[in-house]
Amino acid sequence: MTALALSGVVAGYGAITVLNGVSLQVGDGEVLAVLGANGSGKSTVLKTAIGLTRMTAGRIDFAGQDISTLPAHRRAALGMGYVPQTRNVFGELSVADNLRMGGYLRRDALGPDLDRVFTLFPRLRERKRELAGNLSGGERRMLAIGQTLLLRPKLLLLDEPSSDLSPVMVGLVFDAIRRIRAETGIPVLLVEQNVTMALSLADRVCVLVRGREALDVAASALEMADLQALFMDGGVR
Amino acid sequence: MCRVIQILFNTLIYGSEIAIIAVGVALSYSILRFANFAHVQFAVVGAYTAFSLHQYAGAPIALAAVLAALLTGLFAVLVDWLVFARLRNITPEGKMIVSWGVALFIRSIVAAMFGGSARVFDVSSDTLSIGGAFFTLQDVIVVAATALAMLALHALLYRTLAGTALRALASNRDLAETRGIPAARMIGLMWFICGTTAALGGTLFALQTRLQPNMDLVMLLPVFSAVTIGGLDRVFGAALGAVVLSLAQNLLISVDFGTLFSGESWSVPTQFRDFIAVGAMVLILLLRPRRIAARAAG
Repeated sequence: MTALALSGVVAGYGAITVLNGVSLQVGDGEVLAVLGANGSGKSTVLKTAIGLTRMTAGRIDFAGQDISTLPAHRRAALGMGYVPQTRNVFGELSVADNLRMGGYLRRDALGPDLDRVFTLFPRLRERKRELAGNLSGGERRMLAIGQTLLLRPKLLLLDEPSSDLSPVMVGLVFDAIRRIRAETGIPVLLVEQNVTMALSLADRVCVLVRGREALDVAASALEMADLQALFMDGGVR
Repeated sequence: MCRVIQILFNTLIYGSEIAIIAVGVALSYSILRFANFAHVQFAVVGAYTAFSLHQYAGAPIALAAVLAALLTGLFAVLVDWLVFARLRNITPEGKMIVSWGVALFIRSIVAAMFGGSARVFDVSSDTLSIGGAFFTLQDVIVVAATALAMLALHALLYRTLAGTALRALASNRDLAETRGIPAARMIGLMWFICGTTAALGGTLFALQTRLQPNMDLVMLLPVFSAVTIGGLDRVFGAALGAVVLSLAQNLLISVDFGTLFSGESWSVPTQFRDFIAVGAMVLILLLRPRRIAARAAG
C-alpha cells in the first residue's frame, strides 16, 4: 500500500515551473527522504503535495483517492500534516493558540494530545503564553511539529527540519521525529539538506535534479559517489 | 475642570463612532492586505437601513440598529461575492482602486433611493450634566453601545475557535489553510463582521448628527487616519487610534489660541477638525515611521 503517490507532477508558482514531471511514492509506515541541491525543487514537492502550488499536470493520490484538485484545507482534513521550513508558525498568536489551530479540525478534546506534545517538547509548555513570533528558531520548529501532530495526521510532510538550527537543536528535533515514528509508525515524506540526518531516518531516498527524480533507492543501497555526482549536476542548473 | 471633563466626554463620544467603523478596515486589511475604501459605505448603508426600519417600519431604535447591522453584514458578504472574491489574485493596489469604484456605486444607489437631502432620526434626548460638563442620553448610548460592541468583537476574536482562525488567517494564510482552516468561508465571516460593525458605527453617527448620502466623506478621513495611526492591520490599534485622533481634535479645537497669544479670543474653527485628524496621522507616521513602514511592507 502506498500512503502518498505523485505521478508525473508538473507544478510551480505563477508562470514559473519548478517540478517537471515528478513521480514518487511513500509507502505505508515508510520514511522517504527527498534530497537534492538548492533549487532542485525539494520544498516544492511538499508544497505541491499539500496543495500550495499551481499544479498543471500529473496526479496526486493520498489515502486511496485522487486529491489533485482539492484545496489545502481539504487535504489537511484527509490527514496530511505539513511542517513548513519557514513561516511555520502563526507569529501573532500565542503558543497555546497555535496548538489550538493545529487541532482546528478536531471536534474532540485536545487535552491528551496536548499533553503528548508537551512531553515531546517540554519547552513549549513553559512558553505556552508567549507569542510564537517571540520564540527562537528551534522553539518554532518544535511548535510547528507539535501543531501538526494535533491534526492527528496520517502522513507527515517535513520540510528541512534541520535548517538554521544549532547541532544540539537538530538532535532534539530529530529525536522527537524518531519518537513520533516509534509511537505511531506514521509515514513521512522528508525533505533535507542535511544528508547525514536524513539517512539516519530514511527507509528510501529519492534525489531530485532540476525538478525531476534522478534516483530512487533504498537508503541502505545508496552509493555516496552517486549522490555526490547528482548534487554537483543539480548544482549547475 | 469642567472644561477638561467636557473635552474628555467629547473625545470619547466622537472616538467611539470612529473606532467602531475603523476596526473593520483594520480587520479586512489584516487578512486581505488592502485598504477597503468601500468600508465607509457599509456605515452609510447601515445608517439608512436603521433609519428605514425605525421611521417606516416602526421598529424601536435599538432593534432597528441591531437588525440593520445584521443586514449590512450580509450586504458586505454579498459585495465580496459579487466583486472582491473574484479579484483575490490581483494586486492590493488594484483591489484598493476597485474598492473606490464599489464605494461610488453604493453611494449612488443610496442617493438614488433616499435623495440628497438630510434626514434626522426622530429621537429626542434629555441633556444631562456631570461636574459642569454637558452631554445627552444619546451620547451615553453611543459610548455604551461601542464599548459593548468592542467587548463582543474582542471575545469573538480571542475566545472563539472561529475568531482565532481569523487571526491565524491574518498571521499566515498558507499555514492556516494547511491546518484545515477554510479561507474562503472565513473571509465571508470577516466581511460579515466588517459590515455589522460599520453599520452600527454609521447608525450611531447618524443618531448624533444627521443622515445624508455624503456622510461617507465626513467619516472617511478620520476613519482611515485612525486605522493608520493604529498600524493598519491591528484591529484594536485602530480603536485606540480613533480615540487618540479624537482627543487631538477636541483638544485643539477647544484651546483658545487667541487669548494665549494676542489677547483676542480665537480658536481653530470646527470645520478644520478633519485636517487635525490628518495632521495627527502625519505626525504619528513621522514619529514612528519604521514600524508602520515595516507593517505596510509585510
